[in-house]
Amino acid sequence: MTRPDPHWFDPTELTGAGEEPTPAELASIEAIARALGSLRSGEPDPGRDFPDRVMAAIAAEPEPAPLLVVLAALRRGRPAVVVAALGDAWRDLIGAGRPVLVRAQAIALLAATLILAAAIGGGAAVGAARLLDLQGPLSPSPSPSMPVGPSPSPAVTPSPSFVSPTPEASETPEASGTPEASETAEPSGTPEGGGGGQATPTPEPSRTPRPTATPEPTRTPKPSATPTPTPTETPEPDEHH
Amino acid sequence: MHGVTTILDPERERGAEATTDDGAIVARVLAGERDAFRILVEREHRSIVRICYRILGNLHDAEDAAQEAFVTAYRALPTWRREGSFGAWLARIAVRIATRRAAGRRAIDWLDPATVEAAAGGVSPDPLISVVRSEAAAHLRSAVAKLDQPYRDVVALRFFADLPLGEIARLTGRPLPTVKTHLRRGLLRLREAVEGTP
Repeated sequence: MTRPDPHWFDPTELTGAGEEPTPAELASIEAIARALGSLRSGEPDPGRDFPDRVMAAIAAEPEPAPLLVVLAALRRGRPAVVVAALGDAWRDLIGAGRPVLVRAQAIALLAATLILAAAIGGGAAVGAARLLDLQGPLSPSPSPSMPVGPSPSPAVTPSPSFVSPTPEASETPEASGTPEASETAEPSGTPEGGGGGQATPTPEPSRTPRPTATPEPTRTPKPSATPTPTPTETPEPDEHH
Repeated sequence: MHGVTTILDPERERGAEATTDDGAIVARVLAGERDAFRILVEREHRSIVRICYRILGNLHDAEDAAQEAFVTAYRALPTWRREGSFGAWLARIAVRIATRRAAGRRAIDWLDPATVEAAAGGVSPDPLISVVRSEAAAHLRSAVAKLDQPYRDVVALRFFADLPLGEIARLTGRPLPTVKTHLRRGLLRLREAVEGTP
């Protein structure tokens, strides 16, 4: 009804695409174009207060800034928008007729990008250097003279050096400073069950050593209240984890 | 200057002037003069609401979508490249928002009497005819909203935003022959979608 003729669809618009529509296709295209054109009938005007409503919504928005656009694009995971915004900022920087504030925002965005790129690049370089071991080893490598070698036999009579400040020495030999741990027969049946399978006969778990034969009240976390040194069947350390 | 210059293509010349004006207004907004955006809103809001109405078929929804389009455009103002007109850029945003809303609608909706009357051409309709027309229009809108990309964008920009194919090519960054191919295929797919369902 109120069809603006200058915008009306003409099938000849589709010519020149290399692949010309067949007459049957043209008939279908014209039919669907007519149907689409029928959607234009009776278009109402927006309310008179519509611009005011839009401006009220705009008033609640922060100032449009390239940096905000980039942050929003990063949040939505749209790298193409980020690249486009950086390109726009560059054009704002070098283009003529841009207001000072626009140029300042463009400079801020580009500077922030450069700093971020430098930080990421520097971090990557340091990481690569560490990976290549250019800065020396971070921790002393375990010496071959530190055999862990936990014997499967449980320690029934722990030696005085048994109570080490790092009970997990048998698990991580390279991190412990108690090489004598290899000398003492640490129980292999750790509560996690990762030590090697002999958990049930182990009277003394590695986490809660309970020296019964030679009690050392200053080091043992749990001095045995029971006078009998018989090993219990159920290890307790699960309570500590 | 225009008075002595022979204008070979008045529409194009007017478009170039509008783009220059748009650029100046947008620069003012970006410089912190927020109220300058009202100039663009006053100038474009009728066409934007109309585009949204063609896609959604309901004035209330169309105004909501148009408002969202303006706010989105305001946020993204620094990304407008000043190559095409601001109105075309805004129309593309509105088409995206309105088609997304149309695609998310329920398949069956209550008929708005105003919409029914509009579908019948504004005349007092035969109720049955008007309902059938209204349902057909809703079905067609839904089919457009469900078109795959890039066909949906091209069809909507051409038929709902009334943009010429050259402008669509510039907006979407695609060659003109590609846009023509997308439009042809999009229309044929739309025809299949409309005819393929009862």
